Amino acid sequence: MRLGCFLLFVGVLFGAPARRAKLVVYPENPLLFGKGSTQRLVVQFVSADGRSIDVTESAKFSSEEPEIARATFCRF
Amino acid sequence: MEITNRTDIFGRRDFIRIGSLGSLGLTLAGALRANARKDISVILVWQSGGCGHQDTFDMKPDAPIEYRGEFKPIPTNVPGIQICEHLPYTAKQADKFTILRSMKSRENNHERAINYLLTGYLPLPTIEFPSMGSVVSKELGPKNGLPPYVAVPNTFPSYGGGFLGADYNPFLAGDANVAGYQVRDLKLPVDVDWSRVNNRRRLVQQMDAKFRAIEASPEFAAMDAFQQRAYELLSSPVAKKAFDVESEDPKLRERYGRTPVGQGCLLARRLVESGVRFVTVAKGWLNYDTHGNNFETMKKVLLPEFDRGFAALLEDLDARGLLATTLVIAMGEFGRTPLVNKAAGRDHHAKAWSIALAGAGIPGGRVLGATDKTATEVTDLPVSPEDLLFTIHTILGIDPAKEYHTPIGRPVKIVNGGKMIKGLLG
Amino acid sequence: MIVHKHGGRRINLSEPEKSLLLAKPTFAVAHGGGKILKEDSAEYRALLDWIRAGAKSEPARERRMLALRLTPASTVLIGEGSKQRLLVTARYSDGSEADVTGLVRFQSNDDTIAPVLPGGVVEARRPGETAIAVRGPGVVGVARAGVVIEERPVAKIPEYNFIDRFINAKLQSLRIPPSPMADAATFLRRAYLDIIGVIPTAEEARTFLASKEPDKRAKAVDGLLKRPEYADYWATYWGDHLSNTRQLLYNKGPYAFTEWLNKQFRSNVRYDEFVRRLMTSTGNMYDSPATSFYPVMRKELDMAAMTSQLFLGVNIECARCHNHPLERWTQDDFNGMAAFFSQVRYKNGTGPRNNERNLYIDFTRQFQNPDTKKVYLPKPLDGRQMPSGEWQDRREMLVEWLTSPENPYFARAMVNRMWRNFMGRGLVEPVDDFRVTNPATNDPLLEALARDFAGHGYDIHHLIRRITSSAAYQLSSEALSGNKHDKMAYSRFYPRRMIAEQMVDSIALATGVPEEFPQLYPGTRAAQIPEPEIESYVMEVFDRPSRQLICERKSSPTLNQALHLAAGETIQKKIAHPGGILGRLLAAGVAAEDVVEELYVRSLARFPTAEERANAAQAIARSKDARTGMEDVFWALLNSKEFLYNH
Repeated sequence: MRLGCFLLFVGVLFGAPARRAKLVVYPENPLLFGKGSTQRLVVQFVSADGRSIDVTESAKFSSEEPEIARATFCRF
Repeated sequence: MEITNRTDIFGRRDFIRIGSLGSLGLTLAGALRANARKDISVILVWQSGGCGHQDTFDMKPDAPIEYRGEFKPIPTNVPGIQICEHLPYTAKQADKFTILRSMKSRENNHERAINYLLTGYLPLPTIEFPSMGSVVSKELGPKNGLPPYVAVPNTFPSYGGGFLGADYNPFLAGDANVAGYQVRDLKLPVDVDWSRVNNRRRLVQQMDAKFRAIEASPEFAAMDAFQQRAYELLSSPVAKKAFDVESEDPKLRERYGRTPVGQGCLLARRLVESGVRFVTVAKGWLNYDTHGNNFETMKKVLLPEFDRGFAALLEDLDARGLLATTLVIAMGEFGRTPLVNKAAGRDHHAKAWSIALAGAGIPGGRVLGATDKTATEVTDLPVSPEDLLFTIHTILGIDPAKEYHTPIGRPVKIVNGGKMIKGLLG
Repeated sequence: MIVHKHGGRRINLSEPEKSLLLAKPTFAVAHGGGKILKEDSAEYRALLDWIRAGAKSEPARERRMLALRLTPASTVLIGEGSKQRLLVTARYSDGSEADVTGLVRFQSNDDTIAPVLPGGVVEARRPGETAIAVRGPGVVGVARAGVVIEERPVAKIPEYNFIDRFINAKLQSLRIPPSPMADAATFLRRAYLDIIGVIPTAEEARTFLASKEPDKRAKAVDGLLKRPEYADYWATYWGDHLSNTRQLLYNKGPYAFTEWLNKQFRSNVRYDEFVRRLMTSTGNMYDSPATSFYPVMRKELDMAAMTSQLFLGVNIECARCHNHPLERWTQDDFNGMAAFFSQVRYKNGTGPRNNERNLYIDFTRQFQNPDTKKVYLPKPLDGRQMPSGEWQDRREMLVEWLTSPENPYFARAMVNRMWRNFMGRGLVEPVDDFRVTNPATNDPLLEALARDFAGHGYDIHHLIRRITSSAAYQLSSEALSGNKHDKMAYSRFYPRRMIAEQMVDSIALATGVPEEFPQLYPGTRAAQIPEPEIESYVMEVFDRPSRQLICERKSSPTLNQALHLAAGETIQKKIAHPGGILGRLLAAGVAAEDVVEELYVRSLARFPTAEERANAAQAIARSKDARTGMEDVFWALLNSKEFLYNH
């Protein structure tokens, strides 16, 4: 079994100006066990005043190491 | 067609369960369907403390003297059935009730045994199960503006709504035998007439107006609703009439016996007649607990008052055509030891005892179940508290397997299992 | 069929170690209807993974699910209908993890606030906060979901102590506006009822209202802690919880126990010491009343259940019969707790004291489960088996563990009980149902209160001062449109009906006519009644508990209550009593207007408003005479919700 790390980039387009807002990806450090196993991700937009919005639907995922982990889009 | 009707009443799940009772099959379902339409009420004549079965409904004249005790059996109006000589009035009504000689509990302690028999659950320190009266109260609801569940004279441990809440606690009627009996607080105080009541209520409403703005809680709403019902009850001729034992013919009152139990039975009849669903009648708390001087106490006090009250109740209900729609049960939480103790008393005996059931389609003039020759062990048709409660609720058209949820969300069935008492409905 | 290949092990929720973990939901799906499995479904992938794992030539190794983690662990949804997905990650005994979101069942504790839609999507319905739980074999996971319907800036309450910081954090995150601060009269009445169980006298109210001292509220609390009524009130509280009834303690047991409890609170015993005295008691219940903690009827399993419920806030009753699939407590835990009580034995006294039972310790006695006959050794909940020496009272070991500052439950359970007394609702509710899937509504606050309590030597007075000096305790109960539905964030004071003792003693105090309990000395207050067997209809009707079960006071209204208030003697007899306050005022020739004011101050600890004075004057004018009218005003005051409720 190959072990490896990968980085995932998530980008979301927002109309509103985001002041010190951040994007949080859940789970934070997923570990995948077994080739072909999958892990769903949820992306939350957290605004400066602490409000959070589920933006998974409008997020674009890409993997830095597609050989290790691939990001695909699937509906829940 | 038969099937459709049954499912209407009990819902699909119950139909399946009742259908699977096999031998009871269609007769039972038919009888129950009829009951659900007829609005069955319950009168529970409660022998708190545990009544000696071998001194009442399960006499063992052939047992040695230290077991059979002092009392002798007498014939009843049903050939072949004998009961205690100190129940002469009841003996004349034997055609109206069924004696069940095979009750069997697992609790020998009063509080726990009472809790078990009235709730259908072995008691737990952490959860308070509702009594059958509370369940009936919740399932059938009030009728004619009267409280659905009434305790005569008083409430006792294990009578209450338990986790269902105080809404289902019994309404307390007090002792109907006191001269000039009035149900507690059902009459305005002397000096307070309706004009004063109106003055007072107007003031309270003014004062509460501000408070009502503070909070629109369901509890406040319930309190206002009960207040409204209280004033309705205070001014209700139906309620006044229902509780007005004094208006009964003195001869009839005599027949019931001028005792709290006798007049309690009479009040119970008036109440079910007016629409109350479940009435308990008791002398008090643990009166039947005759560890010493059993025979004297039974002969002089307990049996005579029970005998007159119970017999008159059956006769009166029957004469008024109410027996078919009233389930009458006479029982205590356990029996008493077959071997008489050194103090001429009998101790607690949960392994076997007798109860009497009448009305609501239960044929009279029968004995079900049996005990051995000293009345120590059940030898035929053992009936557990769960079975009894299952049967009572089923007769009332209430699904014993229906689930409630405790405040912490634990699902609890109305009865903890149990099955129909075989042959009770014929 | 797949499962059978692995030796036919079926899934057993009660014995998780024997079940095949992830196979559970998989099996359920495969069993329930294999046809509906779609190739791109999570269920299908899970099955596939599982078969792959099993296909490896390794012997079928059991991996146990150790934990379920929900992410995000806490979220606030903004706007009705807005949604948030939750992910569930399982961690296994072999160190692996897997995404099991599609395989677990979600449950919202309050789906009127936020239900969970299929696939783990939480939806906002109405303002508030709820826990979302997922369950696996023997493990549970939980997340919190808050719902804000109306986005708005909300004010903060003043921060008098750390409590207010945590309350503010919750109010801010849920955008619930706090009610303003309560006025002095409201605070005073509240503090009296919550600390000593009775309203203030007219004189106390007048003095307090007139005082200009800036710290008069704190001073009032300090004064109350020294009052004899304080000990009566808390002896009643613990009497409820410690089964102080002759049904369990026989004869005069409750009298001795009440006196003992009273003494503990008069001397402000440390809470850990209080528990230690109860739990390690020996002797007979008259000379050593603390042994009343062990009624003869209660057996080891009952004691285990009660101790956990009382002092840990944990309900392990379910484990009496079966391992609870949703919770962590197993039958082994329950039996291990019961084993601490196996040495408790009784012997009867002799001679004139033959009705006294003496509790002694039989050091050699083991605990044998009455059903399984298996012998268990002492093991505290969540702890290790405790080796016990030959002459060791096992109850001392349990107390050590219970009261240790490392025990996460002990202080939390107590501060939660006290919080409920003062704030109307426990941070964990019911107070004895701490469990993973019933999380505290404000866990950081509960944690901070527990640390503060333990850090101050389990000093109950300190805890009371802490809570009552917070701004949160001093908020008005008057609801705003934005917080009227709040039942968990403490955005306002939650009103509750007085308990029987508070009501009866307050009515007696206001009217100047004591309640009569024919079986007790004249002048005995309701809060001094030692046992529920003392006859009193008004106490009965206002839900005095039988004390045979541990339960919190109920406050739901009933018909008998309403009738008693409307037509019963408790109020009517006292207001009409010639020696009562009305009689005394009229005999002294006090003017009607001043009588009305006095009645208001006595009943509500405040002065009447101009409108209220006018209403009262009108009512008096409507009556046939002034006395009748004043009685009616008094009656109305004592029947008003402002009187009947602690608000």
